[in-house]
Amino acid sequence: MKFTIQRELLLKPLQMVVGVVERRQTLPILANILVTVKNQQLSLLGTDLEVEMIGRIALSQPAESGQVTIPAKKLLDICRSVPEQALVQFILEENRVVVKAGRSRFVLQTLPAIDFPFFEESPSAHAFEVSQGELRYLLEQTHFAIASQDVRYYLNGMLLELSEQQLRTVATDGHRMAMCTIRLPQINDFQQVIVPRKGVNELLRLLEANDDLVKVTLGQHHVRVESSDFTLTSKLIDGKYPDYHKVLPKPSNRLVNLNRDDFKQALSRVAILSSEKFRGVLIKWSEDALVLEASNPEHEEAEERLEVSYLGASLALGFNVVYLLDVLNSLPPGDVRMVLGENDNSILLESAVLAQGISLYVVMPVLL
Amino acid sequence: MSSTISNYPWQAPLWHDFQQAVTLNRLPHALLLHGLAGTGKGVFAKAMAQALLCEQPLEAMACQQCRSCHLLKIDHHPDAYYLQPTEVGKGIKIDAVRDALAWLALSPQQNRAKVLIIAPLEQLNNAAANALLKNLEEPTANTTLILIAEQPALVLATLRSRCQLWLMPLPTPAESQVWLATQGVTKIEEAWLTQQGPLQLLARHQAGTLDQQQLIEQQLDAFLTQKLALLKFSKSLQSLTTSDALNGLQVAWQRHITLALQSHQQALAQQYCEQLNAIMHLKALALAGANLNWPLQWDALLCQLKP
Ligand SMILES: [Zn+2]
Repeated sequence: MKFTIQRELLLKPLQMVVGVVERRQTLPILANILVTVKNQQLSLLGTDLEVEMIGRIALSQPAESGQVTIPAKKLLDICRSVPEQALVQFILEENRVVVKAGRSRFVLQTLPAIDFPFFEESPSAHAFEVSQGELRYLLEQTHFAIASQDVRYYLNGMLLELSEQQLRTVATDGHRMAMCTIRLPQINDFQQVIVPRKGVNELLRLLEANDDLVKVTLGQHHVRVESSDFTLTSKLIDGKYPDYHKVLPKPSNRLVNLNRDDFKQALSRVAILSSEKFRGVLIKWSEDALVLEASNPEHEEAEERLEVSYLGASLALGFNVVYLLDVLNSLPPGDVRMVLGENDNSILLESAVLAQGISLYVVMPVLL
Repeated sequence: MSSTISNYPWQAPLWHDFQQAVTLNRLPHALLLHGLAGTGKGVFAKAMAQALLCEQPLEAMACQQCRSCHLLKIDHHPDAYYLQPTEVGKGIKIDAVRDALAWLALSPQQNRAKVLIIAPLEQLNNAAANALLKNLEEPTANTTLILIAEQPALVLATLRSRCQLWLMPLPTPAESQVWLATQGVTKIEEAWLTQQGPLQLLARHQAGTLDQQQLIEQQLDAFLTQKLALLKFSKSLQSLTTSDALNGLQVAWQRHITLALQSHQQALAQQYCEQLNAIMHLKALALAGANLNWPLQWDALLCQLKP
């Protein structure tokens, strides 16, 4: 294996791939990245066994094909430290790789490529294309509601659901739920997969808010997101996601419309005096106003009043203010619609501006 | 017969059972592989994992050629997970069990199956065992749990009852001697082979601690004929590793029982059997990673063994 590449071309994909490599490796070889040169293309692969990232770069100078694994962190440090615009040459000699740039020369130990546990391609069920921006939006709108280290392991990930002409993400930790849906005319089938938190985070790190298309493949065991420059593969959570439709409150007359920013600011203010441990806020619905109240163990109190028109019965319920703010930070500016469910007193929040809110949130009440 | 298993002829019948179970699609979700130390439970579990993860198995036999077989051989296989104490005798921590369960919740990285091997199961404390129970109740797909124990009686009953018990047999002393001879270990007394498998003796031979067995037996004879003081014997035992000392005592005591029976001294044999229980009890505690004051334990044990 032998190739030459300009520092800047190598740096970006290298940083991307090294980012996946975990510090706490279970196997020494996982501190390495798999470097492959084939058909004038360089590919770099890093994995923590849960996700795998491949970065690809076309080589303009004639290269000799080959494959080996190289210590990731050291390689990145070397590439960062050589002068800008430098040409970096790699030569594999026996089981060591020689890196030359200008007057610098480095010799790194390698480990054989055959020992590297990269992902095997999963039998695929569905593949579709979507813009990076749209996919990023779907994840951004819902990722904060993913459970963390829950024994109901299927909640520690995000549901990605294909159904007729739409793509949907759902996340819930049992106290709140976030759901986002976009139209995607090319989809006809129904499929659900659960992407673990780690995979969601890596995608958020990778995807940019632009219109470039990525190919998404939902395999039996993995999800794969691919562009011409990169491939990100993540394991899935083995399990069935709970039926989220059951969580959605039924339409009712217990409904108010609020300006998002007014509501957000009022909540932020009362939150100052909410209990630091429970972050509770009491919401009181009445005919002409929504009153927000908070108090803490030191008997300090805060109250906010928002003018609304409300036709339902008067009621007071406690909510976690952090959950409400998470939702309001995700909803678009303008009015939001807040519907109080009939049975369990959970609230549904969505944008009142868009005819059909593409993001929808449910927050369960708490006992104060 | 795969090259790994054919190296251990006494495992052949159990391997045949395994092949049958896989072929008939009747392999249990969780199996508890138990048997005396040195019978090769670990190598058997690894061979099972290799067969289950192989890309092109033939009659539940790993091909030894594919990438999966290679990764398993070098302990790099992402779909085989070993849950074991980070330090010998230190117990399996609850955090380690949680990591393993998080791993179980995810799909395999290669496309076949996941195999979780837990050894030794005695080192799983109750909290950790209970965390594991949940997965035994609601198994994830394509997953096999292989739990390894020397003394299944020490394993939490609720855990044990959810596993199929597979006994790894002890080869006859003659079989063990033949096998050890192929490994270049001779001068092994038959009595040593009634309470431990040949792999343990091979390991002790390789570690150079086999001579200790002779030493323990000589000292025990001296102790029983009151030619060696209790405290001196205790000190000598303390200089060995706990497991070597306990194994040595157990093997030696077993021999005394055999001798007593051969000379028709039933009462003495009975008494030796009761004393053997005291050794076994201490061994169980050591196996479970109990934090003991060993000098005190040795003195107490020798008091019980005193003629
Ligand atoms: Zn194979």
